[in-house]
Amino acid sequence: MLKNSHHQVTVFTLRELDLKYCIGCFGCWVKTPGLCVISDESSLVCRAYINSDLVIFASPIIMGFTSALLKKVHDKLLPLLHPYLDIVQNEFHHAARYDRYPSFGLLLKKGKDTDDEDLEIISAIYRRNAINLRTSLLFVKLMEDSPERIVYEINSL
Amino acid sequence: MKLTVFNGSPKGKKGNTQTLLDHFLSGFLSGGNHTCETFYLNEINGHEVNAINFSRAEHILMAMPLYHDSMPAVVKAFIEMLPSPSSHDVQGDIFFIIQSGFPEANHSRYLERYFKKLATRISRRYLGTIVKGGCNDISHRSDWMAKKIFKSLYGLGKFYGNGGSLDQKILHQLAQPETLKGVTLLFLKTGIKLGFMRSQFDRMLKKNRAYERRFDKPFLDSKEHKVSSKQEHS
Ligand SMILES: Cc1cc2nc3c(=O)[nH]c(=O)nc-3n(C[C@H](O)[C@H](O)[C@H](O)COP(=O)(O)O)c2cc1C
Repeated sequence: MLKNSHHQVTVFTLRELDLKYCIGCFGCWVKTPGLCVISDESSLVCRAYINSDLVIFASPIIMGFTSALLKKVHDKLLPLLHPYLDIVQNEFHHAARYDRYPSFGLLLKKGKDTDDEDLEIISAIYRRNAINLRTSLLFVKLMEDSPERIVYEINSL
Repeated sequence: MKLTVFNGSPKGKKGNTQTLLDHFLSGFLSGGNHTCETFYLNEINGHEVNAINFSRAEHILMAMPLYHDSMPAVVKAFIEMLPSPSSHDVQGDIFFIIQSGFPEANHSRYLERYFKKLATRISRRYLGTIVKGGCNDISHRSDWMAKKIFKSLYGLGKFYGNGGSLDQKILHQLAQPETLKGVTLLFLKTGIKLGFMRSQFDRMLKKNRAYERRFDKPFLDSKEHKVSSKQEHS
């Protein structure tokens, strides 16, 4: 539906990608600036990410948070930032490596045990992630919402 | 008392998390007839066995670095393996250590909130979370340099060993600064504009002969594409 409304869309099915865990070596900052030293397909995600206007993170809620699979990719976005420090909203954050960063949208599928507090906790953390990645969280939607509505809202952003 | 520890640092025994744990545990073991056992979550193959160790433990400490305002992905993968408790009877207690690179505790408060909820979810009594920022190089700092931090952790460990709870006063002191304020904030803002606080990274970049490439943007698509995609959006 998004494609039909004249957007260019790239979809990653994370389950099908070859992804290694971030091991916190900071090689992407001090050895090969801007690139992870462990080669895997997270570089495809990073490239698409930084050349987008909007990134939608879609995940089921498992044990009160987005999936470990999504977090695996999220951890690997570190090369998109710069090691130098900056103060954003009166807090320490990292300096931008790129001139612009895509906005965030969050699309969640509730689990059996999901309650409103879980949704609040997740949204709060993604709002923080957005500050860290030099952008803002534009929306949090549930899979239960109608797709037409979600697309309509994206189109009116 | 037997304490079961889960270290969630992707760096395992070599990380900053371990350094903080060492000091907490030496305080804990200093009094009484206590024992502890540590499991490492950085080996993904171990999750299944570790999850069993987790459900059998009465007293649990989970410690980790902050990764993008939440838990490292390996830790989330572990949490997903935890069986939901068969009954709503309290299964034991749990507390956490979150340590981070940025100095303010506020960065870790959102994950702290998640952990408080997680405790309820797995029917464990929540004892609290030890939060410490500014830990980037703590595993390399001498006892003398990090004296105050190490002493606080030792104190927290000892207090926990004595009464099974966290000393709120030490917890509060250790977490400082909660946020940046006033003169400090002004001073830091100016310092960053002037390019201070870069020396640690510059040293490493130079050592790796990568200093000249430090501002590289390897993932940028060509200019034309960028301009056109921007127009498309507006
Ligand atoms: C992928 C990644 C993400 C990180 N995100 C944050 C963050 O959001 N906030 C923060 O203060 N520190 C962050 N850090 C810094 C770590 O929390 C810090 O270096 C910590 O001391 C590492 O602990 P360890 O050596 O036990 O793994 C991040 C580090 C990595 C590698």
